[in-house]
Amino acid sequence: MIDIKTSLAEKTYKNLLEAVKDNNWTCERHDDELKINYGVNGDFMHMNFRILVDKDTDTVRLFSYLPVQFDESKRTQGALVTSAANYSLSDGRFEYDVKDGSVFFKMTASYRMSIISVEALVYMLNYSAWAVDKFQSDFAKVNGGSLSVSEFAKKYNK
Amino acid sequence: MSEKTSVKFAKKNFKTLCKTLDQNKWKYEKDKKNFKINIDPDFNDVDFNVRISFNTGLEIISVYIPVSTAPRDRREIAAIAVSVANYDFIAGSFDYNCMSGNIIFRMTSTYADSLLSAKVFEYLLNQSCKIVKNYRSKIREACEKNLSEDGVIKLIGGVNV
Repeated sequence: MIDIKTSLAEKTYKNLLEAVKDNNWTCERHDDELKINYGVNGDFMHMNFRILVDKDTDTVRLFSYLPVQFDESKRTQGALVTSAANYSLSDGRFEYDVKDGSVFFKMTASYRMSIISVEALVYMLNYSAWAVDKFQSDFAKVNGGSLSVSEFAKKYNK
Repeated sequence: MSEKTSVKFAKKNFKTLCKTLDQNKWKYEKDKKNFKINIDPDFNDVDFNVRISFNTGLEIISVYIPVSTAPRDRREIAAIAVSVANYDFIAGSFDYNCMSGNIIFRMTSTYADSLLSAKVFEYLLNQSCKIVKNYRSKIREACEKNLSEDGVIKLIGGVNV
């Protein structure tokens, strides 16, 4: 007999398949891991995402590894601008590794003893694509020196 | 989704949230009209304020907890501290405004077209409080004491949730 955690995870994954269906994104399904890798063409760059149903934590977790990596001389600026970006977001976060300057976008939804709707998953896909597309080119500009931290902070200060 | 349907889901989920808080004996003030909850530390087993709000436009629920304000001369170190703290959380983040120095904790989940269970609300609230309890004093120490960048990475990186 399938336990309730597995059953909810599988139902959530089924909704996730439905949510990605209507987009013209390139998808790579890993059904045994309840995971989908997909690519989105943004206004500025191509973006790669991974979304998975994690039945251990009863969450849907979305990740995107950004192509920008802050140089060693720009590590503190990286921390300042990823923090400023997070402060302006309503959902999700940029995770910044101060040791190597890499940046991830992450977003989570909890579904304990609930079913996350197709609509909620569509929201996750769209919001994350919007957030990564919006910030990644400005992160690259700060790293390249054409945008200062204070200009970035002023632009996104809410 | 229409605004009417969005508000309908907000109302139902808000009701479940209030019921969950009552069952867990949290004392709180509610603003039913704007779908907001305020949990005052004076009447609960926490020493910080907790705000929970529904955004009916995005159809998300967020828990907010104020953490600290970094002094002007420690704004860069505070960004390092917050970045280290945020690394590898499953959910939630410390959000830092480098212009004002304000640091808050935020955890969000979507409720679009969904009826969330009491377990989801318990998770959002308990996990947020747990993370803040574990990190707040370290983040404040990083902001206030004269620690180096490496010292801050060591101090915050060693915290477990």
